[in-house]
Amino acid sequence: MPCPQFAQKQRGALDTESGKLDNQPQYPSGEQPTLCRPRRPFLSSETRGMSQQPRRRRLEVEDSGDVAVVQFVDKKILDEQNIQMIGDDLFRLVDELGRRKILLNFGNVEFLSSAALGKLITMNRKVQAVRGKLVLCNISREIREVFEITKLDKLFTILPDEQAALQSF
Amino acid sequence: MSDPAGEFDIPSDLDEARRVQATIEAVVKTAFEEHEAFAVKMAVEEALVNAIKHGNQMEYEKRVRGTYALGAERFDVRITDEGPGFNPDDVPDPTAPENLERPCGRGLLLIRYYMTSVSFQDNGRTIVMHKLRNGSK
Repeated sequence: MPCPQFAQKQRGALDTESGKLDNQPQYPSGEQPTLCRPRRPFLSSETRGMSQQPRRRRLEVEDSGDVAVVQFVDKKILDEQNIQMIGDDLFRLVDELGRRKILLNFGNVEFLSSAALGKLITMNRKVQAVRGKLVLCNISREIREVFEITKLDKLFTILPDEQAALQSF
Repeated sequence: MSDPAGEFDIPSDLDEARRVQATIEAVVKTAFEEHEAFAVKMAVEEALVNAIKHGNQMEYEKRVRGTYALGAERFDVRITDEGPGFNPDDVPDPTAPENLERPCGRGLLLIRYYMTSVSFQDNGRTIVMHKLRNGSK
């Protein structure tokens, strides 16, 4: 497996209860993450304690340097409640985790509705309010067209792939 | 094989809308190209959500009724809600610079873009739309 060009990514689910990544990397003082270290096994919030009310994971968040790289778990971003929870989890990245550089990777997304666009617009506002940067990438041709029809391609920074998107920060 | 025509009568419930959407999607995919099926799916999704949320105001008891039919060259769908109705001309243009950052109001724009024709009846309570196969849209 080729070594990634970018800083080691640490994948983790966004813990929707605590607002923290559930496997936030902890390194001894001065130690830097090693490139090409295998990604840590994914641990979702559902598996972290039987006493917690199970809540389905909707986002996967990785760190690439100081950029939070977000992947959507669902192929279809449709359902109102689902969109609300995705929005809440995205907003928590900014409001509670203090992230300023956020990359949304749509590689897994095959369909989204206009309600999802609304959440992305609100997310963009939040990131701008803290002088951060939000970039979208890996958007399918069909979904890219949705952004173009609505002229939201002028509002968002949309780049073809994750590599180009990471370099834009 | 999916029946190429059907009707539905559901409460104002988004899960019910998902089931209608899945049925229609299966029908459309039997005859339409992938990008055309995406277009129909988008339009039906937005129309169903509009009917439930904006028409019936999410009141579960209010019904959303509709019919659909796949013909040799086209797909027709009609969706009716029990809300107060609306004037489509009153919906602000979401692509206008002053509206671009509004988080809602894009459903109708997408429906009109993706379908070959869209019209309203009964004071906006009914949306009637069709999509031609291998059309320009």
